[in-house]
Amino acid sequence: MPLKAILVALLTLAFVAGLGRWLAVDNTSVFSWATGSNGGPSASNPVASHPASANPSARQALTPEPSDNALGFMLASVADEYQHAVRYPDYSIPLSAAQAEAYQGNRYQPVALPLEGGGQFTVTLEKFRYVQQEDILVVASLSGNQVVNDRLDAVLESAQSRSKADRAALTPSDESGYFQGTLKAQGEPGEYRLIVEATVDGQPVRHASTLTIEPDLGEFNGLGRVTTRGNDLVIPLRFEARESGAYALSAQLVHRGEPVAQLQTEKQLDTTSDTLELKAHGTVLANREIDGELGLMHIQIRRLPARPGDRTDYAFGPEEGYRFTPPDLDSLTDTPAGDPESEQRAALFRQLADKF
Amino acid sequence: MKRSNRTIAWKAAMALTAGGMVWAGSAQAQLAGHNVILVHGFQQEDLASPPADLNAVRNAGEDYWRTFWLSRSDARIDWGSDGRIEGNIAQQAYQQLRQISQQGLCNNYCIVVSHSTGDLVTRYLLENQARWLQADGLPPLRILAALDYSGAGGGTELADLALSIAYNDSWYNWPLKQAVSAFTGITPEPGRLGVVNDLQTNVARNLAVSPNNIPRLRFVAGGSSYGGITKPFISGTDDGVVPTHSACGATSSSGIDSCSGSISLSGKVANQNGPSGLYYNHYPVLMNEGVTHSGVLGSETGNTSVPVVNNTTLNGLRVDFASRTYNQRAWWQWWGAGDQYIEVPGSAQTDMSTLVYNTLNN
Repeated sequence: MPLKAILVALLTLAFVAGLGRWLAVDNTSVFSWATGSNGGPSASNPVASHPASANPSARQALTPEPSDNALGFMLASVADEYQHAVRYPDYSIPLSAAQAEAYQGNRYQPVALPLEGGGQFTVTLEKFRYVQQEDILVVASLSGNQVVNDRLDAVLESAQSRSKADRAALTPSDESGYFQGTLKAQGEPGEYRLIVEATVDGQPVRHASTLTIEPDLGEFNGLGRVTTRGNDLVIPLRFEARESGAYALSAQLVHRGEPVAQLQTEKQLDTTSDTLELKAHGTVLANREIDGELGLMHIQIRRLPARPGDRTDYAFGPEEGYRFTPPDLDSLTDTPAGDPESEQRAALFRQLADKF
Repeated sequence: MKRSNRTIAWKAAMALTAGGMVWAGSAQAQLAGHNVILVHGFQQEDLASPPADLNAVRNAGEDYWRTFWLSRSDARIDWGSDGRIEGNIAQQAYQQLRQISQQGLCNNYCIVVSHSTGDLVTRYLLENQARWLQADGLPPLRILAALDYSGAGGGTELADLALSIAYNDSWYNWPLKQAVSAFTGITPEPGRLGVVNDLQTNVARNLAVSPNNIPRLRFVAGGSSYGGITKPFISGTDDGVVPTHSACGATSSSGIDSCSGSISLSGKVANQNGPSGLYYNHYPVLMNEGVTHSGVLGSETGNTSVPVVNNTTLNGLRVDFASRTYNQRAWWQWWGAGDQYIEVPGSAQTDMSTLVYNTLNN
């Protein structure tokens, strides 16, 4: 008797469950109150349950029919976005906040080393590239349940020769649990390993990461006279290079602290004082209310590798940047740059996209 | 970066069919009417056994692409993974760039197809090729676009960890060591990491990042490589080697779960931890939660690709993507319409490379 009761109960339960499942799968609209959805195609046959196929005429009347090819749609979207992007010449591109942060250059994001038991050994630097003799502030932290000594050791080691360039102790800075200390960027230009050693549960644990020491490339000597030429705001920046070569200059144009555009140019420089011209195109300025000063921030110059295999060397402008009062900008217009190669590329993309 | 554990049998089978594939490829090369240049990823064999010369590098490069793209390409830029990008790799690559320029292969715009570290190598070459070639009296390559599969241009945390492991001969975090060994194929030592040095997140993101006007189309994987042992050590979602922040072209190395703020790698329409921004002219196109790091090159089917739809307005027309969505209910959801998903219809029946190739050559 108890067995029969159990069987009946199980069968009833299975029937109710099956009915519920059946109703849920095949009659989703009945349960649309649960999700606020009008139901939709089943997972087993997503293509066949195309809403347009259920009532094509009604659907057409409501919205433009999309391409049946989703990847084609994506390519067409890219062509569309790219068509918009080529309005801007590559020497003057607009920036979102995230892009502005990324293109500042010389960024070092904290590097974490997982420890056993879920802890982390994290090292943070202010930047990735240092000029010779500059101070390198090293901040380290350890989290987790490990027992850690109250002093860490930091060593700067040449990546190529493994010779030690400098060493320092990192001591607890305050109650926050951070350790910090300062190394000197002494050594030949090149790539270096920053090795921070902690004693964790009685064992040495080394955190290794990379930074570079850069040569002294020359002197920034301020801005020349800022003018408008054609549809560009031309900002001359004087740089006296120690050695001749191909150089690339980049900086962010800012207005009231907000990034406006990433500006960049390349030029062959010799050892006499020379001037590079950054240009802000009308497409990044014409539709803005510009009043007061503009600024150039995050100025970076690179000596480009003359031959494959050569190193790129970096130098940086003053941290505070340069400020200037622009001339009258009324002549600048939001007219696409019309770079022939970009236009041609956009046209080829459009050809591709038009298939979908 | 590609799995190195190819068996000898696999290689032999590939060698037997290679002739036929190359022959077939000569008739089918070009993508949408443009010549195709391949730039491969990290080959861990090169760390254990550095290639003897450029011929060895070229042979390994050829093997790398056999699954699909080799027969559909017109040129390759091969490089040894034992070198550094601003070093041997640039020198090896430039020899091949010169040939491509001399042959005029890109006079009518080429399409670059890169995989993994090939994304970073391509970025570096695009920044420098015009100046180097012009100095040698050669025309620069004209590039229409790059199709970057599992692009490692933003680096990978596995490379960060490999460097620390190289300096910890006695340290005992076994799972981490195993993950790094799976990734590098060696027991890391200082001076033996080759291009893995360039893949450290901070190194990669400080190399040749200046914006340019060449569009980079991103194809992102989310599957599991090396039996899943590397996943716990990569920020956000990943394909077992490359984090999603890198593959999408995100402006920061902070971990993210998707290239979109509203669609997951599996296509689920819901709020996601997406990128705060993308590098200029970087366009995530497809994501695929199931395909592995090397599977994107054509060896894996059965995984659904998802369009990275951020903006459903095209040429001023709002496109309703309901036509490509479906609802899926988890096993424990007995009623309700379930979660909404979006997909590329039919994508599970093919692989990611074939899908893109066939669409572009449609």
